[in-house]
Amino acid sequence: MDRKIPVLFKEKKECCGCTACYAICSQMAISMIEDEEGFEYPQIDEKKCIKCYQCLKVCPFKET
Amino acid sequence: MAINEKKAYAAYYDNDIRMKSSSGAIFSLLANEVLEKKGIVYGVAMNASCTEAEYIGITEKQDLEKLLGSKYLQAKIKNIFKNVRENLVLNRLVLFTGTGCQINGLKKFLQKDYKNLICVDIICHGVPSPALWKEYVGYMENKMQGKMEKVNFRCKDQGWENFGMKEYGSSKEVYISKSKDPYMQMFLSDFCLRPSCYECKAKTLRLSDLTIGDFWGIDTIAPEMNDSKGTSLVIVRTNQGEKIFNRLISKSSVKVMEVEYDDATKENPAEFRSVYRPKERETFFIDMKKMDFEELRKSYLSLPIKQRIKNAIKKILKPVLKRARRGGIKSNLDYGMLMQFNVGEKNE
Repeated sequence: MDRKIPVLFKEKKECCGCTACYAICSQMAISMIEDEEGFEYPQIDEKKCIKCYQCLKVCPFKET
Repeated sequence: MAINEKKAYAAYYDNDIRMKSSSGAIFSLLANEVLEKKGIVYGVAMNASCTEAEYIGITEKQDLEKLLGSKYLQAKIKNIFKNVRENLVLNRLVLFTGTGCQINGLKKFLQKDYKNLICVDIICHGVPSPALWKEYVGYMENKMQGKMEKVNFRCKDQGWENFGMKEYGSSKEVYISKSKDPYMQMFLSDFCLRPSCYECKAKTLRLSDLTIGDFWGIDTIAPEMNDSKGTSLVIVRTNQGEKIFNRLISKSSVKVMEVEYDDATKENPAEFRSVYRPKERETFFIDMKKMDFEELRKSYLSLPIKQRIKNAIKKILKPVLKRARRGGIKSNLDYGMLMQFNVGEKNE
């Protein structure tokens, strides 16, 4: 399988920090990390990620 | 299921709790009902040190006060979405309140509709930075020489003037009106919002059952609904929301009036439109890292002389105009921050 690690957002304006991706991840591969402005963004641990893309499915910013 | 046409109402709960609420205490009314049915209410509270806003779930009426009043910074959600799902699966009644985007996120996470879930969002201007809030707490604690132990972003007790201080025992209480408070001014100038807020997705897609906000402009739309203690704007979006709202307003202590959606949202456009991203947003946080809060305030809130003169004139005219418009009646438009500091350790 050569599925890629999911991209949760390209630019910060594409994430509202809702935690849906963090909460759905069955591998607990996503952490919510504060940036320098104090806002939380999800970060994927590539070692834990099984590329199931559930995180993309639940993201309110994605079309699906 | 979403209803075809959104319905809008001016409403308030005529109860003492309204003075502790941001606008018309409609959330309290709903939350009380859910708690009476042994449900669980999720919303945002300040933590004990007032440094962060966080989601909590409550089951007791005595904790309701923690969730009242807007918190003007983005809240930490932690594992709340999973807790909500657990409650729902166990058939517990859940009321979840938050910003439109948080509710959209929760609904997408749940991936199915639950009959025992009620979602209420607030009309949201955008969420300010939690890091800026921490800077402000530090600045105020330094000024007051004490630890912040309480904050109310929406104090509408009109006994306070623009700025005031009271001291009793080991506590000091400070009131700063929103027009004087630097944190509120940075927020209302849109310098410090989350990047996604300037192009908010939730303005066009809302998955909540009900939306609650301030009914700004009540005096032109429904003056009989303004008794100066605060009126909520309620928007009904789903069948579920309609059922719940109709049940709430059947109570004798609730005053309600249906209004046109377009009229009702005119003075609170955050319901349908994101705020404009000001050019100051580019440098604001870079400067926040470099400067202390006082320097940041001076750099961003000191206006050019022309604007200052304009504002001074406005300030003289405003109360006159306001009184004329309202026929002498005050409303809860003039709110401010009420903070309590523990200055007890001063003598140690």
